[in-house]
Amino acid sequence: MRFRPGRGAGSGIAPPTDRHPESDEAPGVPVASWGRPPPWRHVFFRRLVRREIDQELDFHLEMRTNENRVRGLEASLARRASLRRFGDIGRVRDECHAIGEARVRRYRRRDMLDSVWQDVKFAARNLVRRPGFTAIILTTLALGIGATTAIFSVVDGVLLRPLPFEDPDRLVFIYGIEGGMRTGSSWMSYADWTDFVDQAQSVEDIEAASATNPGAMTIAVEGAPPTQIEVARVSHGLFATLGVRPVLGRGFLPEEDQPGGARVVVLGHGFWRDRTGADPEIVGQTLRLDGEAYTVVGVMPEGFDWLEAQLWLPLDPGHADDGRGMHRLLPVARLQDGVSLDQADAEMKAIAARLAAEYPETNTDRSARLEPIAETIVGNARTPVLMLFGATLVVLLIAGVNVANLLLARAAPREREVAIRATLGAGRGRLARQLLTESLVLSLIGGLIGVGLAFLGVKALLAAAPAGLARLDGVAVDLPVLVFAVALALVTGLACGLLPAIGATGTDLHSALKEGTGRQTGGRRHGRWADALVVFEVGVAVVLIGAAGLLLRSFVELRSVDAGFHEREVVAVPLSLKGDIFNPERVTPFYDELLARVRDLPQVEAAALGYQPPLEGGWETSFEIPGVHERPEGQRPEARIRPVTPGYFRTVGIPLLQGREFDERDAADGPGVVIINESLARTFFEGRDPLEHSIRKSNWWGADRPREYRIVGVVGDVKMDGMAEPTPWAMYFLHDQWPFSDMYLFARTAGDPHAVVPAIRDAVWALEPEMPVENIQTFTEMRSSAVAEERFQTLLVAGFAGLALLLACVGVFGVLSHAVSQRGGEIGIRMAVGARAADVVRLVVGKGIRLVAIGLVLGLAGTIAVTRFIRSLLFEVSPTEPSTLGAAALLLAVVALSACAIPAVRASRQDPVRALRTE
Amino acid sequence: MGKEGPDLLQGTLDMLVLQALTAGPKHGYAVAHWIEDRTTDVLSIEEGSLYPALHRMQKRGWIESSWGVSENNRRAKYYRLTAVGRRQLRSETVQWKRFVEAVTLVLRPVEGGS
Repeated sequence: MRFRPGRGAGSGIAPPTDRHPESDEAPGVPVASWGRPPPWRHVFFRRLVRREIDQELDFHLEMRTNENRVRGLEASLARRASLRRFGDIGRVRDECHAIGEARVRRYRRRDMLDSVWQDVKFAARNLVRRPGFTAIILTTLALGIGATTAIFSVVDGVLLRPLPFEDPDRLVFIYGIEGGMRTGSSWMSYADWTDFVDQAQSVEDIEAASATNPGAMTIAVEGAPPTQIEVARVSHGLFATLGVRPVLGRGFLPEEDQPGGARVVVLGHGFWRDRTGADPEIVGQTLRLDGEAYTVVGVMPEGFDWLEAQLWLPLDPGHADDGRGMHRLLPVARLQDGVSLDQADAEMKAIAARLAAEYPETNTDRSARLEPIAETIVGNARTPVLMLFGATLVVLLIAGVNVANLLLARAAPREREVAIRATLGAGRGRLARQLLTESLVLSLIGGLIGVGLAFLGVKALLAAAPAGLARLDGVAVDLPVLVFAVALALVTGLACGLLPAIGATGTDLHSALKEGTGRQTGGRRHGRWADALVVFEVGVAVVLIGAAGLLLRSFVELRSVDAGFHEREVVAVPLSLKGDIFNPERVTPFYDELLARVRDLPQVEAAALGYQPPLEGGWETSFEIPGVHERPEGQRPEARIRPVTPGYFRTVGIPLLQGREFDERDAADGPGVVIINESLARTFFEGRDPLEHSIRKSNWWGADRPREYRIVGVVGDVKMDGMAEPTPWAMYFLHDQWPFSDMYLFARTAGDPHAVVPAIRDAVWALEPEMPVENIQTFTEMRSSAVAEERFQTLLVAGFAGLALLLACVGVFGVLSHAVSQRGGEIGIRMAVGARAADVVRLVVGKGIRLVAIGLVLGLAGTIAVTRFIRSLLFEVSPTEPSTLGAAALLLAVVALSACAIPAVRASRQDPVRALRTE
Repeated sequence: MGKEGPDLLQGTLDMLVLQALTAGPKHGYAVAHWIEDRTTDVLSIEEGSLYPALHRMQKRGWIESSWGVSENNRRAKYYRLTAVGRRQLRSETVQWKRFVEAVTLVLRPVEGGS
């Protein structure tokens, strides 16, 4: 603005008299409205804004130029003068551009939000107007999204969640490998471990833990019976190597690892919370374990349960092991920076080879291998969890297809309307966006309901899951899972809405307007898409049903495995006499007396002692058969050892094949006796009579144990590593000659075995009042829990397969019904010219058969491609077993075709006249 | 624009433009002319400041625009006041008057001296 005092009395130029048409004084030409330009002009808004500003400034320039010319200036001078008044016109232009663009941008944003909100409101109104339709879609989506979310929470909690250690990818377990094989997971002896620690360069630390010596201790609790608690011994640097710090107190000190070190204990978080009420002053207090006082020095954080222990003690070597051949430790190491797994593995193997050369009696044929701890902790769970996730994805796919079909069916009749609107200039893009918005709204609401279902589902899953499945404690519907659910809902909504949206906007205007009824055109193209989708969902359903069938078959096979022990009403009571493991003076009198008392109980038909229940472990020892199979140390075969008392085989139901059971003839100080199992006999005594031979074994405990044991009997094989693994070679020794302190008492009862438990407890406590008597199981329970994981998996997958079958069925039904209603006219004509009801039925069912058949064929091909990935979960069933897959396909075919029945019958019942009239 | 405090002068320019529009919608050239006429050419607006001011005020919502046809049949962009703009004009006018009164008070002849 220039201030020019002194110039007054006008400039002599008439002021512009043009007025805006809307001002009071003059009539005008209709103009575009005040305020914002109409939305569709925003499309090229930047160019538009610039053009408008240029026009505005040009107008001004022109007026000024005219003014100057009127004043008498010559044309070009006039123009230059007016330009000069502007100053730097380029800068002015740019400034106005910037302001204008910012303004229009703001309008645009507001407009878009407005129109999106409009779409949402419109969509919501549409959905409310058709509650049945909406309900079906919401239910379908909720089921699909809910199931997938629930299983994803398992995927996240078990597979994706990082392990609670520092830099867990650099942590590895060092396993031993026996007998020159390539794989194995044997543990390491104390002596070997110290050598590895000294020699290994490629790893920073090697710490070790032991969970077998003892594996559990008795903890004395005030006013309650004593209970067993799992403990593990760890080297002092273990916690630091893992990168886990105690939340209270400290870990172990180096001096505590030495023989005679202080009796200290570190508590697990669960133990601290449950048994001491999260006492903040717990450090420094004492706990009585196995009758001795231990001082608490620290508490570990939540979620830490190394070797599944609840308490940790220092690795006291005096306790741990005497021989280089006693493999009780599990070492864990951290790789050095820059060292790869393979390099470190090679070094470990080299060290193992050196030890084998240096200590041939114990280390011949022994090697080592590294395994990342994640692989050990999670590895087994990967296949089943991913399979479950795949199952839910299948369910979601089928659900999505159904929803897409439903939306398509609804969008189709509106195509004529869309075409008309398009010719009048309304945006097709807008309609597509509307349809997509509807689909997204549906899927977001469905997803919300689905998340609710997922909450319940996860809770039920965790309650029903068998104990011991990896990392289930981290499974929950938490933030990552919720984010996944939202993303899933969005993707589903987009996918389901895409087809109707494309269909609506891809309309060929000309033919759409020309055709008689909108129903027909829309119907035809929609019909083709719907057919394709149904074929797809049938195919996908076949894959899932096939997989479920294979798992079911596998489970049945597993269940029918002969475990080798045939009695049912037997109860197994674990007992553990504390003190030295091998203490004949104390052990034998206690167990003899206990057995006598238990046998006296009225309900008890037979009782005996055995080491470990039939389906579980036991330890291995090497042996020789004089005259038959003799090898140097380190090359001897190994067999499972089980000390038992006389009457064991009878009590438990293991058949005696040759010779006799142990009886009174066999005494503690008599000649050594042993009973072998059928596998051992078959392998080593081909063509010979085992009863004429003996077993010779090396001795660890005491020099006064016999070394040769005469074989007095052969018994049937019993599964010792779960139902799926083959039976190892086994040898049963007489308990009197091998008086172990930790034994199981087996009692066979006339009626329900549970009824005799209290009496057994009393008998035990009469002799040893401080002995915990818990974790009692009957044989029936044992057999059931042996296959608990497989059962759980199979049920889940079967459940999802059932859901998929149902949804696919609904899909087929829907498509056929719609096709029937679309082609009502055609059917009417056929009936008018003489087609019978049966012909119509055949027409409809024929279409159904065609669709289902194509789907089945494609699906079977898919199944064969996919099921090989679950091979590791199948027991004695091939992934492409034809009878199972055939049955699955048949099931789907029958169910799907029965879904055709109703539309077919309905079609045949149509009144042809009415059908024709609606054309 | 002068080198003095731009805010004061720019605010003043805005106020004058708003006032110019109270008599009815105008295009930019008409606003400039109106101010020159009313002040009998004592105040003359530089176009370099006028148009940015107009666009700024439009962005703020004090004025709104529409394209019309001028009397010599050219397309021109017309501006008019919005309700917000009217309020703004009122408050600025009050402030300006207070400012003028304050300055006038300062410039009263000082008693006793010079």
